[in-house]
Amino acid sequence: MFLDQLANGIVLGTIIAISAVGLSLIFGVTGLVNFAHGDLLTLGAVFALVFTVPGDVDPGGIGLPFWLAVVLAVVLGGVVGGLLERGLFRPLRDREVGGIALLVITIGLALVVRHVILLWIGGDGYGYGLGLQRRESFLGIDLTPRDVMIVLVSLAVMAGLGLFLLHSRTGKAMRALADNPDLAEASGIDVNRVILVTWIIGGSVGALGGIFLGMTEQVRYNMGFNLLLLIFAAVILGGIGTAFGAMIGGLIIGIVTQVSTLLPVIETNTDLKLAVALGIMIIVLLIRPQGILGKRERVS
Amino acid sequence: MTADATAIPRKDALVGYALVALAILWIFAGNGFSSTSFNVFTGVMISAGIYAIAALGLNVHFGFTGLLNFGHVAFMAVGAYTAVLLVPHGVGRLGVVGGNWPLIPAALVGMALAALLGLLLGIPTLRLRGDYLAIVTIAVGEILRLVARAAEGLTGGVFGVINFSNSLQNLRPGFVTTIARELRVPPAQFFLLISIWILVVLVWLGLRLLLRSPWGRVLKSIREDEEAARALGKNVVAYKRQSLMIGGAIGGLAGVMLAMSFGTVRPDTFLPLITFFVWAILLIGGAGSFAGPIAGSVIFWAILSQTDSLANTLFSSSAGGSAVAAFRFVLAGALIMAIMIFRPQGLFGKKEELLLEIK
Repeated sequence: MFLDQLANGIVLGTIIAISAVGLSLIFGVTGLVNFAHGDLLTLGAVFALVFTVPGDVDPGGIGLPFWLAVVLAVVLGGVVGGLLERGLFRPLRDREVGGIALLVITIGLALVVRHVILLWIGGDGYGYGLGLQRRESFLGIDLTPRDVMIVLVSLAVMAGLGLFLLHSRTGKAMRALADNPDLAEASGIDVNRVILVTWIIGGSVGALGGIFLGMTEQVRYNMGFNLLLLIFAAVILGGIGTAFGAMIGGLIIGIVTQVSTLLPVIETNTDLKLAVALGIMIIVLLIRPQGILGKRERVS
Repeated sequence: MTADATAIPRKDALVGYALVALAILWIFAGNGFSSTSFNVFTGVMISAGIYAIAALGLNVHFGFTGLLNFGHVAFMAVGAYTAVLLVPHGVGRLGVVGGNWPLIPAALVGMALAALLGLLLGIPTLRLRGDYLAIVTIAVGEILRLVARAAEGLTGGVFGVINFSNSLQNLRPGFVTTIARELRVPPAQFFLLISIWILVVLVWLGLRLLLRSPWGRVLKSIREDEEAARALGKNVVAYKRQSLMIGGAIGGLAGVMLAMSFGTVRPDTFLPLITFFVWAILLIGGAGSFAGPIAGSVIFWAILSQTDSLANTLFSSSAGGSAVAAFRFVLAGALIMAIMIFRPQGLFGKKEELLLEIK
């Protein structure tokens, strides 16, 4: 039982981690907590769904091979991220709309996106039609081959992103902006371009996270919003604004909440694992509000 | 600060009042002034009143103190569950009977516990940047609902609490029944409408007194410039905590009246989306203004009451109940975005009092 939930926790944790990276990057670079991030995950999962489902199966798609559908959905997720920046957030920054207004706008955006999806595919849950798989033993832990693939691809994407942040010019510019926006701009960094790249990365990596979530559960209009609480717990635990913190925080939150479903009360009400995540979040805020990897000055 | 400082430009106020009048007219006219018009009007104004109370509470948090509370529904849930479990009620699948309190003390305890929730929420968040409060409140709003669903022994789980409405209707004076019969409105509905709007006026008057007192001026100074308030020796965290508690208690009162209007209380009565309706209302009316939350609520519900027919026109073939509900939320979200972009002060707010940066 414990090992089963540990395995589920590792899968959930990598999904939270890869979903949290985008949120954390966007916060780090622009200072914006994007409450619509969860619904962007859902959007990615739905894109993949309508690309891969045949036309005669609900909700009606175009029947592409799954891998192609995933690639297209990830690209489209990046396009959505870029469009949000160019069409909404950059004009708002140019008009010098304040941080509070921006935060409330992301809440409105989340409502719109979530319920447009509800109008689009309805309230039912859908599968990608990938078929059931038997669990096999990997390094002593029982997982389906699909779960293993999700974990490995997520880890690879996050490693790639880490290398990009550490060594590429744009990645360094992103970290510089997160550290000190004024200094970064003064030293000749094209702020608008860096923010655009951040949104595109956040959108496409988020779409991938949404698709993985849809592969382990079902694609439903509110799946991303439900995951958002776990994502918040992850970024607060890891340190908000740090991509590496989001990765570590995601893994820990995924494993702890999933293993907590073995506890007496939570066993029969598995939704309460969200309460466990909230508990962790509150404890972190009380004793180390900057999170594991965060820096003190972000806090107050 | 003189009394004029809270007055708003005359022209804007006139536009606001005119819109409210139009909204009320629209609620009537949408049903062609038929014999059911007053029934529909009663139903819409009951919702408008309940959400006006909720928005008045959120206005204390966001409008006057600048606190980003995205879990207002949690205060409403605490108030509602406390009150209906204290008055005579039935609970759970079997409708186990319990409770013997009169409504008014029960509602006061409900408000007190909602205030206590505010106190608790403040502990991990008020010393941190404002977005942490936003994250924690949005999480608590959702998790209290899950806890209420799991705690079946106390709350009846998904079966909820029922048969408590008489605690309000027992207070109904005879003449209200007579008037309601004259107007061909169900007396229970009519009495609910009257009690809710009496509460709206009481809360509005109370907040006006409170927020124009020295205490209220400190609150506004915190919103304007926290450092300056601190430099003057004000305990900023304590004021914010008191603001969370007072606004939370008012949210709890709104929850009690929401319970009375639904007649049952179930965990899914308190979806996080209620919070966003309250936000849309506050932003339409204008955060930080006194008339704003009430006017915003009437206008918002006038719009919502007409969306059913609008949604039916837009999605002619497939408009089931869920499509209409989804359309309402798209509308609420779009309204929130549009107001924040084009008129962040809403109808009655003042542009120069707007809060810009997260602190």
